[in-house]
Formats: sequence, C-alpha cells, structure tokens
Amino acid sequence: MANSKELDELLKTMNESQQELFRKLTAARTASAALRPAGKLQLSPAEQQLLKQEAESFKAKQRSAALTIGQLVTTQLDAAVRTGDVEEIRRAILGQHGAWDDCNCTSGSSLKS
Amino acid sequence: MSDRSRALRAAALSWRASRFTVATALPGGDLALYNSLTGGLARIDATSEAFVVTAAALHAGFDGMPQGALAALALEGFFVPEGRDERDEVDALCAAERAAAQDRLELILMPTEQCNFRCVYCAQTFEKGRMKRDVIDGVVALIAARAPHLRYLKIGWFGGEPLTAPEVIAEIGRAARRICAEHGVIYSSGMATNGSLLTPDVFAMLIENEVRRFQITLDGTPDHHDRLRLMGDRKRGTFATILNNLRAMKATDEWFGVTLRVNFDAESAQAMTPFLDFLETEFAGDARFHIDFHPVGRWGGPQDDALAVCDAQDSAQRSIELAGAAIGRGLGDAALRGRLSVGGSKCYAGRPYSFVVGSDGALYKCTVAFDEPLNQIGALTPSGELVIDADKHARWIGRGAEEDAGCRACSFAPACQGDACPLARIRSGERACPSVKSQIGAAVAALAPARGRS
Repeated sequence: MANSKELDELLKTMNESQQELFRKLTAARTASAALRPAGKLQLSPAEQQLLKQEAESFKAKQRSAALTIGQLVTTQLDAAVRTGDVEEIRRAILGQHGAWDDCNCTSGSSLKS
Repeated sequence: MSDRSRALRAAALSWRASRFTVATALPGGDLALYNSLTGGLARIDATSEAFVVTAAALHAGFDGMPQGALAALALEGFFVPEGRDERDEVDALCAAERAAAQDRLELILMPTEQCNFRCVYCAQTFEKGRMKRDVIDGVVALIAARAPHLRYLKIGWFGGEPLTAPEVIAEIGRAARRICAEHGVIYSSGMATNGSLLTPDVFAMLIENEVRRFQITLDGTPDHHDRLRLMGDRKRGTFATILNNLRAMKATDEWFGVTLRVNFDAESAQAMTPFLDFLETEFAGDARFHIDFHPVGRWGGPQDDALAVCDAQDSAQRSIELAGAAIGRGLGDAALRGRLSVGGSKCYAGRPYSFVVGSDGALYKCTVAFDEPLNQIGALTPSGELVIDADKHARWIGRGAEEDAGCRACSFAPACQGDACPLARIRSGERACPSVKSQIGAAVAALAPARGRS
C-alpha cells in the first residue's frame, strides 16, 4: 500500500473492541507467515469466478452499506469499447479528461515524489 | 473442483494491499480507498466489521480465498496476490499507449493564433493569424490519408481564440466528420475557448460538427475575472458575456461537457466562497458542467512580474480544497476524476499520436512552449504529410514509468505514466510530478463514493 502512515493514524481512531479485532487479525496473519507456501501470482479462471460470486454475495447481504464501491471514468470508456456501441464510446470519451485541461501544468509540477 | 481441492488451492493464496492502493480517513472516520491502476474507489463505514477487517488486511495482508468485504475489494484490485509484480502491468499500459499510435490520431489545431482577449497572465504573442488555405487543405488530406487505418480521431481546437475563425472550424469539422463516417472512425472534438463568441448560433454550428467538449475559463467573481481576463482593448471586462453564453448552452438539451476552468491568484483565492455560491446556483446538478481549479502562474507573459501568484505547495493544496468544496456543492467532479484515472494525469504531449498544428502548418507537441526549439518538431505539408524530426519527437515520448526509478516506485504511476509534463522533464532532466499527487489523500476524500451507491 502507498501510504502506511495514514493507516497508522486511522488505527488511533478505532474504539477498544475494534482495536482488539484488529490485533487478532494481524496476529493471525503474522503467525501464519512461517507456514505460508510460495503462493500464486494469479487466480485461475475458476477462482476468479468464485471471487466474483463472493463479492456479489457480500454486496447483496450487507445491511447498512458497510462497503461502497465506485469507479473512475476510464472504466466507463473500457466498458463502452467492449460494447462496441459508437455513441456510448463517444459519450465516454466526452467524460474523459480534456487534452489541454492541464495546460500551464508546469506551474504546478515542481513537486517530486 | 471438490471442496477439499478448492480449500487446498485457496490455502496457497496469500494477499497484500496493492502497491497502487491509497487509503485515507474521511471526516467522520470512514475509510476511503483509491487504486490508481484499476481506478477503483471505495468507502468503508467506520462502524462496520468490514472497516477493521480491511484495516488489518491493509496493514498485514491476509491468507486464503477472500471473503466478504475483502472479496469485493480484491475484485477491484485493492488487494493482489502476494508476489505479483504490478509494475509489469504499468509497463503493459505504457506499451499499449505506444502501440495506440497505429490506430489513433489526436490533432490540436490552431485555426487562428489571434485572440480577442488580452488576459494579464497570457504568454502568447499573437504573431500569426488565421490558418492558411494550404494548411487547411493539409489537415483534411492528412485525415483522409490516415482514416483507413484509424479507430479514433480526436480534434482539439486551440488558439489564440479559435472562435475568431469559425469558418475554419466548420470547414475542417465537416470534412473530418464525412471522412470518419466513410471509414468507421470514431470521431470526437473539443475546444479551449474563452467563451465570449460562443453564442447560440455558433454553439449550434459546433454541435453539428461534433465539437462537444469545451474548456471555458471563469476566473472567480465578476470583479476578479474582469481584472484578469480583459477584452483586446484591455479596458472592458468579459464575465457577463461569457456567462450569458454558458446559460444559453445550459438551456439546451444537447449532450456536451464544459470544464469551467478557474485560474486563481493570491487575491481571488480569498474570494472563492461567494464564487462557489454563484457556481452552485448556476450549474449544480447539471453533470455537463464541471469545475477545475488552477493557480495562476508566471507562464512567460510580459506582465509576469506583476502577478500575485501563490506558491506551488499552497496552490496545489488550495486547488484540491476548492475542487472538494465544489463537488460538495453538487458541481461536476469529472475534472478531478479524470486526473486520477489511468493515464488521466499524463500530458497529451507525451502521447505518440498527439500533434499540435499551428495556423502556419508548424508542428508542435506542447501548447505552452511554442518558442522552445525542441517543441518545433516539424511541419504539415499541403498534401497532408507530417514531416517530423524523429529525434525531437522521441524526446517527448518518455519512458518515465518504465525507466525512472522514482516513477517505478510511485503509487501514482498508472495515472501519469511518468509523463505529467514532458516539457519539464526535457528542460530539467528530472521527472515532474502532477500537483494532484501531493494532495492525493484530499483528492480521494473529495471523490469518495457516497454511502450505499455501490
């Protein structure tokens, strides 16, 4: 993950029972480290399908929107291209960042990682 | 697959947070996540078990087949199997971008280099006039020659003020539409305009020619705007004229997009609350209009020394704060969303299929450094041939995300691909990061999905 310091700050906001659960989960993970096999880099198609089913099942069951998922615009274009519908593609392109929206960008780009 | 074998396969899975996942706490304690490789956004209720489970998984990873919230998050790429090198996927994105030059062409055309405004921060010299006949013919011939091999053609109109030469836009636009229709090319077009000449009749002509995306500048409240953006006589303000045209566009049922660009300086930055009130009244709830804040910079114009510019860090922070405030008021968020999307912070000048064509047929890569010799990469001939200095062009097509050690370690690399500003990299030899990267937590917080909309 990119910003672990932010996460450390987040942990401080947890109440006692949340912190206890957090410790339990992270401890279990630490304990399993030595037993962990080399692991896989990709899911098989069947596992990918299982993952989708589990995700959909969770979203359907959650009572109070504990998790809300969103997407940025690029996916809309990807989806439109998959449909092959020219009007959809044009609308998706319209929603994209413009070619010159960052003109004069050099003024704000002196910050380095 | 049996339950046992499935369990055995799952046991071999170990997960960690994606190197491109960014987490931030929202006011009120909810957790917001963003992944720059997948474009995923997520919001997790601070009172839910999913909150703790996710925090633990972000901290230490987890084993086995993901369950519950972790399954939904893994599906969106926030977690990946341990050992996967996601940098390979960024390399693939960059390679795909280079390959796209085969079937994609983006032209930024300058139908005139004259302008009816004299903005105090402008760096343009207005030495060249209307696009010449042989250049118009060259543009049309280029499109006709490339069309059989293209999937996408995008034309951006730039200037000067492009709408001081509407007949050039209409002529090339008509030809581009016809040629693209004949060859099944997906054609789209947009324009950076000051908006003063965008009357209903002109707007109708542009829509007819598929110019549907506009960048129009309003630099704050009328007094601040009229201080910064003046008519050519350097006396009259321009706010009221632009606003009338925007209102007329809004009253139509056409589909189009307007980025309202707001350049703020140290003075106008202090008066943004009433301006946001005004924007909310005029445009909130109409997704065709979205707001994009930029600090005024010393861009090379004759009045640079007199400009009250904000410093880089302050202005980056202020830009995102203002974007968040605008989004919170129901104004469109497409500009900020675009900047965080895959490739959305990459400059057009770094794309191998993007060329700027001046009114005299000169070819450039970048629209902010016309006098830079390295930006003068060639010319368009009347027969439609792009005569390009390949060595100069290659300088603009960077491999930052693949070769720069800092970019390879960066969580934002899929969004800018190491090419946020090729001009800055060429000039200094160092990467130039997009300003939004330094404010990524605030940007993610501004875009976090509202609860219950998944």
